[in-house]
Amino acid sequence: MKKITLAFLLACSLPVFADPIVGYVDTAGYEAKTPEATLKAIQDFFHQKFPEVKGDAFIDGSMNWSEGERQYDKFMTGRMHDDFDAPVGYPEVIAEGKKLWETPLPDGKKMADCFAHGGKGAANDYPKVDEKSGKVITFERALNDCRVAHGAKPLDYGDMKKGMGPLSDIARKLSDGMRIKMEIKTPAELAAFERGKAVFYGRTGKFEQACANCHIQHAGEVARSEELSPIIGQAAHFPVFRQDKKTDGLHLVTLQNRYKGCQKSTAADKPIKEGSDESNDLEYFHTYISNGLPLSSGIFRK
Amino acid sequence: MKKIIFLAILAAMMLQGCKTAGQHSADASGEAKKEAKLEMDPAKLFWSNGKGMGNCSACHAIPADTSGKPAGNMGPPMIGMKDRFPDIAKLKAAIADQKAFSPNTMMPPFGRNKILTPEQIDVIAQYIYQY
Ligand code: HEC
Repeated sequence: MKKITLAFLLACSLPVFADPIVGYVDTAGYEAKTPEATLKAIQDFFHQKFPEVKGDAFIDGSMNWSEGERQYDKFMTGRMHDDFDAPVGYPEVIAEGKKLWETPLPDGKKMADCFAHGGKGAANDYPKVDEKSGKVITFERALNDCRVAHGAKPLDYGDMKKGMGPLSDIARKLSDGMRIKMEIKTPAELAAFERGKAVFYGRTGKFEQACANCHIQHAGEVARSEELSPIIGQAAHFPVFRQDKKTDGLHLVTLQNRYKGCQKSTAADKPIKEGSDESNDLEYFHTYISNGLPLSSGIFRK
Repeated sequence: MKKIIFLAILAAMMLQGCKTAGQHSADASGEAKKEAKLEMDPAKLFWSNGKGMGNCSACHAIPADTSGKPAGNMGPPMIGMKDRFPDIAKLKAAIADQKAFSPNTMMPPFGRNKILTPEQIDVIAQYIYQY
C-alpha cells in the first residue's frame, strides 16, 4: 500500500512536458523507413519544389524567398559587428557567454578542459545517443555535465540571458564552419531518430498542427507576413539573435527555445520545454536533416 | 517484476488522471473568460490573431480586399466561395473540422476543438461567402 501511495505521489508530481500528439501529417519523408531514406525524400521534395535553392543556400532559410529579409539581415549583421552601433541585448549576451566559458569552475578547471581541442569542433560531436540509457545527449547537456563535474550548478536550459543560452552561443562558435556529419546506426540511435521524427510529424495543440505542416508541406509559403523556412538548414545555424520588439534590440534564441516558440503558435497548452527528452529527441532528428551543411552560431535571424 | 509493471501502469493511469483533471479546470476558467467578451464581428475574427480570434488571415488572403493588411498564402485565397461551396453548410463544416475532409491539412479544427463557437463560425462563413 505504501508503494502505491508513493507511485501516486510520484505520478502527480511528475511534470507533464508537452501536449499529446493527436495524429501525424503524411508529407515528404513521413513514410520513409530509414534515416537515409527520410533525408533523401525530404531533399528530393525541396529540390523539386525549389530547384533554384541549392546546397549551402538552405541555411539562409526564409531569406531564399524574401529579398527584403535578406537586406534586413545584412543590415542587422553589420550593426552587430559595429561596436558603436551594436543593438541592445547583443553585447550583454556575448559578455555573459564569454564569462561562463572562461571563468574557472569551483575546482579550478575551465570549460575548455572538458572537451578535446579546447572545445574546437566539440559542438559537432552532438547530439549523440547514450547507448546505456538510450537518451539523446545534446551539446548543451554536455556543457552542463562539465559544470557539474567540476563543482558548479547546472544552468537553466531555458534561460537566454544568464543561463545556457549565452554559454551555448559562445561554445558553439568554436565549431563554426564545420559540416554536420551525423551517422545513425545502432538500435538506440535508430530509436532516438524515430522518436524525434514522431515529434516533427506529430500534430499537437488546439490547432493540431505539426512542424512538418509548416516546415515541409508549406515551406516557402507565407504565414501572415513571414516566409516559412524549410527544415533543411534550420538546425545548422543556432543559436540566433532575433529582433526584440520590447527593447528594439536583440535577444538570443537557442534551437530548443525556438521549438517551444513554434509550438506555442499551434495553441499548445504545454509547449515542448528546453532540455526535455522530447525536445532532445526532436533535435536529434532535426539535426540529421541538415547533414552536410556548415554550422554557424550567433547569427542574426528575424 | 510483475509488481513493478503493475505500479508503472498504475502510475501512468494516475498521471493521465492528474493531467485531465488539471485541464478541465483550466478549460473551465478559459471558457468563462471567453464568454465575457465573445467577438462576433466577422471581419475582426477573420483578420485578427490571438486568443478568441479566428486568425484566418495568417493563411488565407482576400484578393478583393485591397486595404493592404498582411495575409498569408498557406491556404487557398477567399475567392469564388459560392462556386466552390454551393452549400454554405459544407463551408461551415470545413471551418469546423477540415481534417475530416483532408487528413493532411494544417487547417485548425476550429469547431471540433472549440477554438470558435458555432455562432462565430456562422458569421465568418457568411463574411467570406460574399467573396
Ligand atoms: C503554424 C506554422 C508553424 C509550425 C506548426 C511550426 N513553425 Fe517553426 N516557424 C514558423 C514561422 C512562421 C517561422 C519564422 C519564419 C521562418 O524562418 O521559417 C518559424 C521558424 C522556425 C525556425 C527558425 C528558422 C530559422 O531559419 O531561423 C525553426 C528552427 C523552427 N521554426 C522549427 C519548428 C519546429 C521544430 C516545429 C515543431 C515543433 C515548428 N517549427 C512548428 C511557423 C511554424
